[in-house]
Amino acid sequence: MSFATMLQGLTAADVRFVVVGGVAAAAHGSQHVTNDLDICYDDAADSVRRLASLLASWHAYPRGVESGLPFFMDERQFRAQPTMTLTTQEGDIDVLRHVAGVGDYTHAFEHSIEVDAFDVRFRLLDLPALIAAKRAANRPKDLAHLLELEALLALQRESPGEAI
Amino acid sequence: MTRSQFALAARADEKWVENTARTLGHRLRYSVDEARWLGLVHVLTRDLGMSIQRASTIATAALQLDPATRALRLRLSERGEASVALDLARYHSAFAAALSAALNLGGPRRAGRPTHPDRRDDPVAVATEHGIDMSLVRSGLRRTRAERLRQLDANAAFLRSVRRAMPSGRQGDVG
Repeated sequence: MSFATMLQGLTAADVRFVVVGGVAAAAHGSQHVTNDLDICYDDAADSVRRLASLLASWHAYPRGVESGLPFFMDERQFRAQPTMTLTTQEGDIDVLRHVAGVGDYTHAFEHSIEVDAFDVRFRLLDLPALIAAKRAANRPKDLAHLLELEALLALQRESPGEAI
Repeated sequence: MTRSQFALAARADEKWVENTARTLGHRLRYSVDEARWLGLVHVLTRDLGMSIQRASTIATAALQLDPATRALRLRLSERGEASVALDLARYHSAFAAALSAALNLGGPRRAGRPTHPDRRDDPVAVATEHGIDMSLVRSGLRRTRAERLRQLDANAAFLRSVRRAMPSGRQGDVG
């Protein structure tokens, strides 16, 4: 159960996605610790089929909901509810078709950078887009995160040559 | 649940929720069971064109049945020539996912428009004023992205182990 195994699994399954949220923020230097992986996925049928199949193999179930209800992890489920917050045997994962302040996968991809970590290569949202997403979410709990990200962006602009 | 979380869980807009409750003379308590019921009323009115009253009666009866029911026959005409099947298990599945997303992502918003930092302010100074330890942030920036992600993974694993070790009633105290 780790971000490493989830990212390795998503990459191996050939799912098209961009990491957004707390994990992307941590990669940019945020000190906040998050417990779930947030991804914005490509909603093209082939990629959704692979994502659904992978999540089913991880025994995904809606997080925070009474256990024992019927739950189908397949393409139809994605059509019925395109945004899901799930708990799985590999860890908690939020799958988003759309990120407020950024847009869908195509927009997230345009505002993403490629990283190599955990022995896999994947994309994560860049810092300005992460800030736009936090502003659009406008949740009280995000205020400290937003201020930290804005400070990180200022530091990045001070030292553009550094890999921050 | 807040009103917006309730509407997200029912997969209907807030206006529809209010108007439908008023039409049915139902005072909303914004509970999970109520969202499940109103969500099914919404499906029946939207997809099958049923009246709100009829959909309400059918939803109440359907939700008494085994949630695993795959094909619940609903008569559309008086003499029974036309009927459709409601996949109740599918409905419960979609509702569970919508409820989870509503509870986890649909929390309260700050009042007013999103804030934009005052351009005259130095974001590092503003963050420091708000209690963010910028020396820790600067120290983290000496690592590569891959190193930061490995550190996050280790920290998250540590938090999970602490949560598991705590009595269930106090798990919300960590992280």
